[in-house]
Amino acid sequence: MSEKYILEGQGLRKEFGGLVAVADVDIRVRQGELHSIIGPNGAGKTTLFNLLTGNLRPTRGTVRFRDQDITLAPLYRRVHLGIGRSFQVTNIFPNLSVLENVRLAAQARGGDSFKFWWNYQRFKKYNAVALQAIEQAGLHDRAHVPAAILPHGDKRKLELAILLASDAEILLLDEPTAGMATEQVPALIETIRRIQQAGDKTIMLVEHNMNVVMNISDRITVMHQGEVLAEGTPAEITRNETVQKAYLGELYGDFAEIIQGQGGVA
Amino acid sequence: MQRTVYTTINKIENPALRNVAEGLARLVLENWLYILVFLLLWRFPYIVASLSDTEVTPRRPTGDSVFWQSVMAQSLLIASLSMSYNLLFGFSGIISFGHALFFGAGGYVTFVVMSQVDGISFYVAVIAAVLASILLSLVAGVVTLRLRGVYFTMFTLAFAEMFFVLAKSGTFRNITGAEDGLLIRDLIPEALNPTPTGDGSRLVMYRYTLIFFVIVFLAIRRYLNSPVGRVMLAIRENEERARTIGYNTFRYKLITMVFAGVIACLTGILLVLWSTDKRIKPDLLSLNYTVQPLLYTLIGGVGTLAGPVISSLGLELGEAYLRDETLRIGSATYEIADLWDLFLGVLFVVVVMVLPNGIVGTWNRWWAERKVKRLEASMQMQQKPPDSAS
Amino acid sequence: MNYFKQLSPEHRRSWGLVAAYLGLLIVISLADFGLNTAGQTVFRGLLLGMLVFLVASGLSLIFGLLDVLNFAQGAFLLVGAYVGYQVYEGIGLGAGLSLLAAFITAVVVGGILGTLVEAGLIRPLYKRPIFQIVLTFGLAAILMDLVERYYGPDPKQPIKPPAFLDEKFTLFAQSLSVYRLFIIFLGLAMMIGVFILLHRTRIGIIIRAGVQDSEMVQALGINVRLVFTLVFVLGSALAALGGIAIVPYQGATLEMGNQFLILAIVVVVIGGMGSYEGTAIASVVVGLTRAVAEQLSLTHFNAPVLAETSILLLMILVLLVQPSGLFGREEA
Repeated sequence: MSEKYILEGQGLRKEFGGLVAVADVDIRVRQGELHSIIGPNGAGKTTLFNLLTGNLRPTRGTVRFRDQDITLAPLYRRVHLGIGRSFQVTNIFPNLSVLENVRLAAQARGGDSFKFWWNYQRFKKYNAVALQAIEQAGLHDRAHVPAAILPHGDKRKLELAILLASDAEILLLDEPTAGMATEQVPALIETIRRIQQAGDKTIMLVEHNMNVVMNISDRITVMHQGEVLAEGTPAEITRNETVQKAYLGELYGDFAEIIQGQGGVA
Repeated sequence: MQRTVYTTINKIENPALRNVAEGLARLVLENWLYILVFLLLWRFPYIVASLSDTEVTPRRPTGDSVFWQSVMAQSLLIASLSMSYNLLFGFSGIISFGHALFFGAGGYVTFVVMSQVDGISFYVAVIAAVLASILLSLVAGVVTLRLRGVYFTMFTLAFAEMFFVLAKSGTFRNITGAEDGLLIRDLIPEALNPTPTGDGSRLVMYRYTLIFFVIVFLAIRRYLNSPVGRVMLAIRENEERARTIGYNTFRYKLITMVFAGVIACLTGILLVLWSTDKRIKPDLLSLNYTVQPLLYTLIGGVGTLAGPVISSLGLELGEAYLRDETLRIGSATYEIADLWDLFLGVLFVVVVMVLPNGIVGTWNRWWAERKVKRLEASMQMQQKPPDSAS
Repeated sequence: MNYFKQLSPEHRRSWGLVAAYLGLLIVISLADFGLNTAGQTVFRGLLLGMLVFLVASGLSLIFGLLDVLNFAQGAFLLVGAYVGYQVYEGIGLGAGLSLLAAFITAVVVGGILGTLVEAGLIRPLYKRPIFQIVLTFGLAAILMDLVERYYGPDPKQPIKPPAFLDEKFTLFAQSLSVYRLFIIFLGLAMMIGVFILLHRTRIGIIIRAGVQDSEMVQALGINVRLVFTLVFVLGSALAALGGIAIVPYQGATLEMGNQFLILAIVVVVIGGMGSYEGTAIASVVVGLTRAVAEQLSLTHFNAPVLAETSILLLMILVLLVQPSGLFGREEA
């Protein structure tokens, strides 16, 4: 029955000291869909995300990937199962070149990482995978530049390229457009959409830029104060009264504005 | 010049021959400095002999060449030890204060095994020592590598100090010889005894030592350029990220620790063979052999391949050269030998405070910055001028 | 007993564990050695614990507040011992005054050394924590080398305390110098003194807040630099005090520095980095473990050196079971 769900969180809860960041959340992601989590800052989006990726341990609840319980699986094992993630704050190897950043991700999925007696250049397949991922992410002219000196937008693309190279089945992207100049956002979104359509990849996305999400998502989960407020297609979310009530009542800048104006914009 | 060589090679018609020529050319062109240094070191005994007008093979009284063979061999071993330390400290960001344990374990295990087990061959005992050092690194690593850095550092210090105390303790006097150590003169195989006897065995041993040093150098270089080495680089840069892209970082750190431990162990065995009093003493396990490689790594350049070698050779040879000199300040005279440790200490503090990348690191950084500036400049050229609207 | 009411359940469990462990040690000694020897052993353990505490408290406080692992604590102890010894031998004012002068000089020299090290060497490196560790480690080697160079490699004989501290008293059928009681008294006094400093004074409250969250304290506009220096000086002075306190009892040896540094490290790991109570309790635990293990290995194996190992095994056990120590903050 849960055949079509690739990633499931059941009753996930995370407390920091007394603070409940995520309160008993159920979330299901279908194979091949682009699923977004939205909500204001502090709604627990990133915490929920970290619970799903294994960067944080839940206080309660389980995470399942393809019907396999991975709640306690260490980070590296999740990658080998096919779960990849990017970070909201750019998190790369700053002194390594773009190519090396991506190549390492490719190498992680192969079985050659412990061969300390060979030069790494011998394993050309990882180079090829890395170059392809760099191409796909739109960074082909920057392959040999140290990652630290990339402009911000390119660093976001690098995050994407790393994910692609690690050949994940499900990509979890934490605010991929964070801090990007507005005019660069559509290009990146286009890239993400292309990636989803090209392979049979599932993508899960955390965003607070509503415009981004409404146009490309198959499903949206709205979070508020650690709980799921609503879940559904973009159209359902736009019509949802709870969401409207919660956000229209509060002075939540762009959020309220977008929900209101959604019909016209789309 | 490189270009002319490669274009000439490209003109070779036979593809097999061309490949061979190209490989050879690359080997020489990329490593000519290392090859030159190696040849110099290989000829070193003869160079000293001709400079000091002494003989390469010793008769009594021993000449300068014979003396300097011993100094150079021991310096090369200290350089190997420093390289192995740098593998942890510089390339992996693991601060171990217990490196002396692996170094000392080499000599101790080899010769304690030989003196306890009748008729066992030296080489079998060496294998036992290597196995022991692997075991020790695994224990130390498994207990602490998962913990935060400070705990690891404290643990290694305490762990190594415990073995130092054990080696000194009178409880095991009949095994280890306690403070006096264990006389090993009769246990050293004939072929590996560098003590001058007139048959040139010191020269042979000098060459063995040099070859050992070269192997260590190449092995570490290969290790750093292997898939594992690349992962270690990633771990040093950003361990959490390395885990997130799918590496079990703990396992990589453990392998690196074992590798560094084995090198230290072998170095320790060789240094014991070169010791003048032919004894294994608790001093081999003392903090000295942790402080020394740490010092040389820092001075030469943390995380550089050549740095520890340059500083080890420079300072060790310098000490041997100045050992008998005196320094006159005003009316007081000081023996250089007495002041040397203090000098090293001050040098150490100065380097940590003002030259944190060491000699080679500072040099490399200077070059890298130039390169980055050029890259950045070229990237700005490519980019369109920024929008005036924003 | 407000203190116990405020405890978190984990710490309350740790208290229980410690009490059970110490009880076990005492029961074992009573059963194995008989009353008198057991009493002597416990007394020796307490004495050692107090001395170790003086070095360990500095290590723990400095790490808790400054995030600096100060490997020079052992060297500060060594300097305190030798400088104190020199003053005592050189001053010639009779045992009482000389010893007093030795104590004061040791503490002052330790404090000055601490100030110099913190202000001159540690402070410029707060942005490079790895180098701080390396620096204190190298500094320890240099200081110990200087001590050896200046005072020579031979151990110094114990100095004679003034008559009123040298009187003998009988405890568990053993005649002991009152000076030993004095050390225990001194250690307890320091333990309580620093506790009061930390809990009852403004500066102490700042220190404790800083251990919890040094950025927050900085945000409150307190001169954290000054507090850092003060804690460092306090730590080094306590270590130097420990050094001179040992001299009338055991004399001074060059190995003392590392010996006590190792013991202090074990204490801090067991007690939990940055926890003052943890350090105090773990000092007693380590002292007693060491004494009982020494006695056990002496009576059963004739191998006193095994006591050294016992401490380390204890540390490994704690690291494996609870890496943050008995009373430490939980670290990710």
